[in-house]
Amino acid sequence: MAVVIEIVAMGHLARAGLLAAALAVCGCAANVQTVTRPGSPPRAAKGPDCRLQIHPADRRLDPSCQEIGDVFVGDTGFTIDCDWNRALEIVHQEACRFGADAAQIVAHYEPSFWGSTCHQVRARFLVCGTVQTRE
Amino acid sequence: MRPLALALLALLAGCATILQGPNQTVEITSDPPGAKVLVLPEQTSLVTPGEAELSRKQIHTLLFELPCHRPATGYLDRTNSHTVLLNVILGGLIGMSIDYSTGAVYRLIPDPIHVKLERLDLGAGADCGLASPGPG
Repeated sequence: MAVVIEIVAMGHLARAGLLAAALAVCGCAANVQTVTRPGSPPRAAKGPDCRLQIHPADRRLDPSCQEIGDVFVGDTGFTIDCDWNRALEIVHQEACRFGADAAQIVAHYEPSFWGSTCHQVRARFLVCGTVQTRE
Repeated sequence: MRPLALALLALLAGCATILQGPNQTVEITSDPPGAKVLVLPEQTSLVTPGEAELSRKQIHTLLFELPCHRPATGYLDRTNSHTVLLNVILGGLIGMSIDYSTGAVYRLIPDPIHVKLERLDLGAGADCGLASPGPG
């Protein structure tokens, strides 16, 4: 109801300005937050030809893999470019930027009526040398 | 009439900011208890079981450490709180913008967060007591 009152009460210019301001603040892009592990040695970012594996959450990796950081790809409330492939693409980009050898999905929140219309992902960045999986 | 409507809307704006605020108190536990937890990115620490008041706007990573146990990591993610629906009814676009900018529209999950620490097999002679006292 309030939305209707607001729209009626506002002029076209004010509405357009408010929408532009909201989009400028929040943007249509996904919200990307990264956390670095304290004490982990700084690593050079990998170049545009960077290729690494993104492992699913249920895969047991070599315990010697060291976690150097993690990323959350989320929704700003105005995000529209946020399907599953885009989320994985961002995880890949950030892992390369961290200089990681691999990434592993920790949590995947699928779009839902009560939550978000976006695929939201938490992934961790790993330095493993050669990643070995344990069955 | 028009200024009155706008004033009313300004009062109603930001339902989640008013109702639950920008921070959330999260209960942090571990099995076994007594683990030292470093909360990132704030870099604050606590011992389990404990509570931390954390910003809803950002995600948090919890590093658990306990002697003779494998270090573990816990992840607090954010998801939309149901108060976002109140904005659709009451707060409108202004309220929604305020709530998203303060982060009050989010809820940190899981709450409580519980992490099970895996004991390392270090043999019978391993010293798994509390951290050694400082000099003096």
